[in-house]
Amino acid sequence: MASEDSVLQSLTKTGTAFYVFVLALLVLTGEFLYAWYTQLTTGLIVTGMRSIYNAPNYMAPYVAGGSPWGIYITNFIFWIGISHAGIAISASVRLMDLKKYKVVARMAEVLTLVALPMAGLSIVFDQGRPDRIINLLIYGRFQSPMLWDLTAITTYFMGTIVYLYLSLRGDIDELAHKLPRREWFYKRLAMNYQGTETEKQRHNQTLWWLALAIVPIMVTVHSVVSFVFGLMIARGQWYSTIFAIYFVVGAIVSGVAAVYSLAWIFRWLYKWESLITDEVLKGISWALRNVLIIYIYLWIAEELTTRYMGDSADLRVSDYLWFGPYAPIFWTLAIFGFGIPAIILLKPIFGKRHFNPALTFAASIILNVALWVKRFTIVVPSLLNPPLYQTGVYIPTPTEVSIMLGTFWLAALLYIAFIKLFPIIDLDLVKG
Amino acid sequence: MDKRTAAVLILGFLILISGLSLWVLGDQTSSVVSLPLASTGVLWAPLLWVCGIIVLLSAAFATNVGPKYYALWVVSLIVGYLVIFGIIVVITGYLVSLS
Repeated sequence: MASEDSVLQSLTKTGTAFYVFVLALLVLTGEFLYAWYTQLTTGLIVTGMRSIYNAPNYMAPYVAGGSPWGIYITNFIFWIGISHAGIAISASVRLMDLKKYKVVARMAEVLTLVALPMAGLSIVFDQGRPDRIINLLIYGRFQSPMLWDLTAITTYFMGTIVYLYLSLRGDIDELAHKLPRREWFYKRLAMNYQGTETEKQRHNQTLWWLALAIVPIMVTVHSVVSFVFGLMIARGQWYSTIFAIYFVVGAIVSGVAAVYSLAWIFRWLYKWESLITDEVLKGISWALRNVLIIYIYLWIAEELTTRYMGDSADLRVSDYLWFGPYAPIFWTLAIFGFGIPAIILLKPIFGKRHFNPALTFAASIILNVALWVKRFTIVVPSLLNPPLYQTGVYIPTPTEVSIMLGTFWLAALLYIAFIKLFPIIDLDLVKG
Repeated sequence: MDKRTAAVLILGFLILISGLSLWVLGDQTSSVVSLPLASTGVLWAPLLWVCGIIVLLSAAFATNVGPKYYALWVVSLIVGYLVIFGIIVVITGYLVSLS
């Protein structure tokens, strides 16, 4: 079993590689901020998003549908999905008393805390006038899924903060004794924690109830995100009863894949093989495999229903994906994005020795990229094929891509800041 | 569940319902105008609604920390939530005005 010092090395030891990595992230963040500045001062014209695609004069009168939503909204769904697994995994570990997986619980919780603001930011990027975002609160209408979104995400975020803090409080108090140079900071943050048995027991009880409350909130959040699309009849392939479950399962796939990736990275980085054992990784990969199978099943069911019913707006979008300009993306996604990770994850069924942590790590990374692209194929093709116009064009601009990628650099910086301030594994697990 | 947590849960729920009711009433009728709260000119409905969510979810906190820290926690969350909106509005509003 790894020692406390081993877990605390993420707080106390900082090598050159770390500084280089952080510097690179800061440079990339600077580039992102410049891109966002350009967009704010020039307007959304610097993006590839258009409500109607007006071709140049020489092509007139060619007017086609553009895509008013692009990679920002794709990114929003992606980050909400990532945020799902965090607290969900942690809450499940607590509710079902899965002691073996407690080592990854905090990694997952922090992931939620980092991912949710990135989802919110993606919405801010998508707005031509983000200074009017407050209008969503002032003039928001409860009939609109947009306001349900704001409600659900706020609730989830607040719940996550409370949950993470309570699960971290004991460690914060302990850090005040272990790291005297930072005592002032930790003492205040611990809010007079005494560490008595009664206090610990009360914390555990509270966390159990909070976990019970958070699981349905988590399901609500992604269901509500799906309603933004699923309740809209005017666009092909959106108006669907399957959307809520489809989004929730997709979110769980991307979230569990992200937690696996993080667990593997931490194990490799800090040599935590005795803490994050092969058994733990294998357990997470099993969960990933099972939800991936459900997701693929839902995807096939959705495609089959569309292809079976003949001529319609849905079929037009489906044709566009299967045989049109997006066919290379669609088929690459199906075969390499989902097919190959599915084979890697299914292999261990045929024998214990087939489980390869590094290969599964590759599968989890591929899955997350694939799920980002999958969300893109949900958002954009339906908008590019409007009922009143011909099929349009959407090509994200470099400015747009820089802003979208900015959320990844920011998320990495926030995560790193956390692991430099707090232990990423519960100290109770490595005591004695 | 101890009395303090139960009290906080009920308080949070009441604030949430008040905010929601004021909002829905304001949305659908003009009856909210005659309420004393409306005459202050402050948009109480969304504010009450956000406060309600925060107080309700922080009920878990009430049982574990003293009243002083609980108050500090709730106020920090509410102010922090509104400050985020404020920062976005002020900074992006300024940058948009440059265009």
